[in-house]
Amino acid sequence: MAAQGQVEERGGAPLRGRRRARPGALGIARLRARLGVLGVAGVLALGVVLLMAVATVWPGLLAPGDPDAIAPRDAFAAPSLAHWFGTDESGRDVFTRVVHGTRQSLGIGAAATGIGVGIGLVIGLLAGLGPRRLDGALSRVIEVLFALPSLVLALLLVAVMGAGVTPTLIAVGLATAPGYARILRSQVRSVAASSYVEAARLEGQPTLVVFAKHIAPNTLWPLVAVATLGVGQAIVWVSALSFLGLGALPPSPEWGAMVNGGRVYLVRAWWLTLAPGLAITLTAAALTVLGRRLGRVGAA
Amino acid sequence: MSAPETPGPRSPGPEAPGATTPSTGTPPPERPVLEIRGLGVSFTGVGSVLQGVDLTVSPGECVAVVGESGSGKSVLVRSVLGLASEGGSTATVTADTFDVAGRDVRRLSERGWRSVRGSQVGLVLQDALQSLDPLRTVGAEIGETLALRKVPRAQRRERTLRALTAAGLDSPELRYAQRPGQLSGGMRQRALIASALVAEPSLLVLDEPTTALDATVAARVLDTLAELRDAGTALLLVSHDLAAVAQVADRVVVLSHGEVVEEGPTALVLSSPQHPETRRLAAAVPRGAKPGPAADLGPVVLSGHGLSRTFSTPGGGHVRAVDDVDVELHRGEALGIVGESGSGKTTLARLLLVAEAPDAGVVTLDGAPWSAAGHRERQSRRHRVQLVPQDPLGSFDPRYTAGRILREALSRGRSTATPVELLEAVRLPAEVLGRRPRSLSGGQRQRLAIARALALEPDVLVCDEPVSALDVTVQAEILELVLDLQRSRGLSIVFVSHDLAVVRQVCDTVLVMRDGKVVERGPVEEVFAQPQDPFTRELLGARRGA
Repeated sequence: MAAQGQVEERGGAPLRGRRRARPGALGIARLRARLGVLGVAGVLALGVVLLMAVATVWPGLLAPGDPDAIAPRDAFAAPSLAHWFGTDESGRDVFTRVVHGTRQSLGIGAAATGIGVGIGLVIGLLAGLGPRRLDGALSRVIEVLFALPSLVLALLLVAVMGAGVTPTLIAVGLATAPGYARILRSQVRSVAASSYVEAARLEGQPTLVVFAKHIAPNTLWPLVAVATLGVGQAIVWVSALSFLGLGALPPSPEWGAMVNGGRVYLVRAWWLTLAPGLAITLTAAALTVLGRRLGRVGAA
Repeated sequence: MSAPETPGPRSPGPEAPGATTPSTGTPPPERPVLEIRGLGVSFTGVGSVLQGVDLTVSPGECVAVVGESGSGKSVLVRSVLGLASEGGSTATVTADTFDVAGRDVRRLSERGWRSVRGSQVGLVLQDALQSLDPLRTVGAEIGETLALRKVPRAQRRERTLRALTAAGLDSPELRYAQRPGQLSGGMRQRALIASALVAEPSLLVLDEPTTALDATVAARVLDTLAELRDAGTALLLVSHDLAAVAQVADRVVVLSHGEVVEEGPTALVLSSPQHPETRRLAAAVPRGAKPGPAADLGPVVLSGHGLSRTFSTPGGGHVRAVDDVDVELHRGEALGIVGESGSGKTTLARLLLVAEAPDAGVVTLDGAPWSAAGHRERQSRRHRVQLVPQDPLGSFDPRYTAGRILREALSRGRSTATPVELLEAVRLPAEVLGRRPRSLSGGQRQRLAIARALALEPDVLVCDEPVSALDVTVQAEILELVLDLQRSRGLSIVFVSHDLAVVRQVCDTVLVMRDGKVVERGPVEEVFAQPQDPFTRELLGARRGA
């Protein structure tokens, strides 16, 4: 009995600290409690994500150079103090390009996830809360979307719209939507059937208020964690499409396109592939760790 | 590895029918199966949970350990099975003597403990549904214990069937092939007892074995335990309910704050409890009539006529949960609805709340349509009939603090009370406001649920098994609170319970339900004195024996 109580409290204390903290009134103790929830790995991941955010908003701060400035004389320079990640076939600084590519890669990942979550939100909520027939129909739609091979879909969109970022975005968004829709549908159903939602109804709360105060927050919080995981996944997908030449086009410093560009010189200049590849891996890993941590916090 | 040679898996005794009698390797009768002297258990970060506990259980004896939650009884159970550290934090166990089946277990390795568990000590947990694998048949589940002990396949089935019979299950051949989902709560508990019995342990430890069961079912399970005891198995029974264990226990050990405060023969401890804690536990057992003068009945507030509700079952069949029931509730009346699980009492309460619409019949509130009213019209009158749920924790939004829960409820009612005043009304300290229900105790959560219901200033309070998940002492406090509130606020109460004694203490009138129908109704004291229906007599008998 006592041991059980203690476990409960241990799980509860940092949670309270996190929830109660208000921006502005964030003392050091509260900040520590907040970070404590994330754990060491979570804090590291948060650091990486913050670094990526800086690179997105203000790439010049980390790499002041021009990502497209060519210097043929310096072509294929190995990593050195002057060029941390070396230079490519046109003598462009790979580090500068990776930093400046963050905005595009991360932006595409976030936008694709946004499209996926947006579509998933509409389908999932309608299926979860709507009448049974609508649920049946939308569940079939989800299954059809699941069945579509995303690469073929991307090829189709590229064929129609031409190669570029937009079709990639839509393709990845559509490919991830059914996953979100399914998670939302089951989550919203279990929340709507919970006894606290019933308790609110029996208090006489209007339906819309019950939705806004109880159903929506308890449904969407778990989704935040899943979507964070999803951004990392989407970056990998978008990079894969770019690698195949379907996404961002050279000379754009998008990571996937850079990996593709370096492929030809893999034996001669390994850093061309390694640097953007590492950036993709690091970002995806950081977002995944963060997503899992958030998921655990949400579950607690 | 260092563990000495154990008696090993026992061969099934040739003296078949009394399957529970341990055969070879049993300590002689005068030697206790469990002997503990000066047991202390402490957890890192928590401190000492048990101090200087002495406990002996002899073959053919049933010892009950009784105490409130937090008294350390669960830790004691876990220690007897060498599982004290299982709760997550590391436990330090010390003892002057700690013998299980004649073997000193103080320095036993994890490996050594595993040979003790199952073959020497069997454990039966409270929650039979969670302890049984839903995907496996009862036979497979129970047989696993034997498979682990390398009992040949041919013997397993026979021994499993014998254990099922010993645990009091009818048609064991059928139960052998069934899955937990196909069994009732009582049968599941018996299946669990069978799985603990199958290896023929000399000591059976039961943690709240009847708490989750209906009164009549619990009485039958206790009868089975008495038979096992008479057949020579030593029983260690752990419960918060003194009355429930009195039926089978030979001796009672009262635990409070990790110490044994009283010990003695059951009859003696019950009739003349010495320690204040024991007296508290004994006094908390619900008994006697509703105190105070008979209620002044006003006009009818809530009534239902010809109420029916049918549910379809997964197999395509139908269950008439409530079948043509009439109910009338007067202002100031406390009406009890009693029955076993599955009798339809909760469904009837939900129909009265119009949490669910009846298939047939109407519910009226103050003479105006209630179940037949439009959604909007009904929502505007919701505050008049409020629910106190069985599981208060589930009824609170997990993100909300107690204060926010109360403020939200207040925003719907016409009450001018503040959250703090509401907490005072249910005797909770104001500091609860900032806490989340998760961090409150079971009794506090139920008080908070009552406070939330009061926030809407209802005329009718529908209490659905409000105390069945609580300790006896906490239960007594909540019942007292409900009684007080009814008097001071002139509330009408619908009180659903499986426990007749609880209903008798709170209610003026009672409905006895069985299979969706009302089999008996009337003033509580009349029904108690002269039960007309055989089923009511059975219900009464189950509690009286306890």
